[in-house]
Amino acid sequence: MLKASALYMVIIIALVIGILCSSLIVTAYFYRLQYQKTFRHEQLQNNVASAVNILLGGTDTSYAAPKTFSLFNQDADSVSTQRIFWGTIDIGVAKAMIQQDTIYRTFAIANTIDSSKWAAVYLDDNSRPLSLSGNTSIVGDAYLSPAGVDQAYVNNQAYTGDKRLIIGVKHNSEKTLPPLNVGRLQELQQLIQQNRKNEPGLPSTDSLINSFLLPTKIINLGKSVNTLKHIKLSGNIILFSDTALTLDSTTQLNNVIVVAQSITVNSGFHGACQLFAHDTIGVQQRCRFDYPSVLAIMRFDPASILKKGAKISLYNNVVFNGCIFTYEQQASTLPPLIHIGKKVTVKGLVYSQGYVEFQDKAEIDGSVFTDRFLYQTSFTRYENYVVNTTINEKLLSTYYLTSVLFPVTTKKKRILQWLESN
Amino acid sequence: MVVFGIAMMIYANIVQSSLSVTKIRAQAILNQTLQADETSANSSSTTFTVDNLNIEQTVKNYNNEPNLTEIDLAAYDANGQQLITLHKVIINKNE
Repeated sequence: MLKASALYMVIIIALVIGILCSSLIVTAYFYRLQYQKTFRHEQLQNNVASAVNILLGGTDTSYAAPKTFSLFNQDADSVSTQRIFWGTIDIGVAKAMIQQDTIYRTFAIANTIDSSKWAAVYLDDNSRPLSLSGNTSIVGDAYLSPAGVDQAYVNNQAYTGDKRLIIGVKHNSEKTLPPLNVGRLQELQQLIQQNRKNEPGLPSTDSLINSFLLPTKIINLGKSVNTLKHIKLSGNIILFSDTALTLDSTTQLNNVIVVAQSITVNSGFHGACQLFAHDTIGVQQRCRFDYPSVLAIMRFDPASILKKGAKISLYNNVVFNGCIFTYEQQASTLPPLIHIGKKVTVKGLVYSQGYVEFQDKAEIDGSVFTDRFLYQTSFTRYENYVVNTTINEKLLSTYYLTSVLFPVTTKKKRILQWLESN
Repeated sequence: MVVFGIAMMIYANIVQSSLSVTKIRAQAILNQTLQADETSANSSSTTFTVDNLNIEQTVKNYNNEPNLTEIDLAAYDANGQQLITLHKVIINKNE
């Protein structure tokens, strides 16, 4: 004879078994859901990596709107690619989509260096030797005039560097510098001369961050002289000024482009930016520019070239990572000058269609392309003299990438910097 | 009988769509193969066997782009049933 409570016992046991079974099913369901999510994520990662490779290795180098297509003409392989012109470099935007999930990557693209053309020094053949004095060191290949290189006694200093003078292979240079890439120059001209009359001024907020997934934010400071202070600008932003612009040390610039008539960077500034000016760029003491930064004087208007000489000055103790260059569409009577001050370190490339002037203990970890070197004392001006300066091509990273603008690059494009991802 | 039939159908459906260790292992092998292809300068179309799984690798030019290569990988079990596929576009090492 069964007890009357047996029914309750059976119901309770059935309930417990039911709960156990349900929890097992729910666990299996969530496990499967998670697996599918992980699998989809891996597939998205593969697809976005394919899109990145298409941007790097593809032959389409146009700057068009985002292009969406199926990678392999199968299900769940839609990607979108876009190339954005960003001064001397390009920005790539790659997205992969499956159902509601999207993975994106934005990154800076630059070119690898052509080791056969890369040199520590390229000095135009102006039929005069390069003269070295003081504790000067040039490490790497050098392209010089057939007159070669000599020791010199300047400012009461004899040459005290390596007896080989050039620690590398010497080649004969041409009468003119290897030219900058014409296509890139045209794009830079369009950037600098673009119509910005209706663009807004500086926002009242203390920071502005604009993703490369969004349209470019253009800020027009107009014709009033401005000093940027206590502001952070980052990403897809181009700042235009029709006159002099000062960047205070309290300004933070990250990957932005600045175009102005002349630019002064106050002492203590730290950032990564591309500065394009028409007349002068002055970088005060102890500033630090992170890679990939650019300082450039670009002159496309022949009438303005004759008015005033172009000058880029880096004063004492500046550390600059990137490229410094001058470009004039027509040669002027006053050649452009790049002044590298005392204890300044430049990691990258210096390209001058005029003079490059070094002061004591200046260091270039990379390459200098110039028409002439200049060394000035209070009383005397020496042309094609390098005194107490180090130019060492070997100190540059083996992974160094640079702009296609310069004549030392290959067609191979690589990722210079990851900018945004999810 | 009807209930038994429905139960068997549900069971078969669940077993077919459930995760299998073989499938996960196949995916790991394909990922590893893909990584090796990306670092290698001369990948070619081939078929090979790893842990009783037949891996079919097809290497071809992507979209007539001279510097891009498409790699298609497929894993098959002992019965010849396709378990998983993987596709990726890579940059030629010899670019």
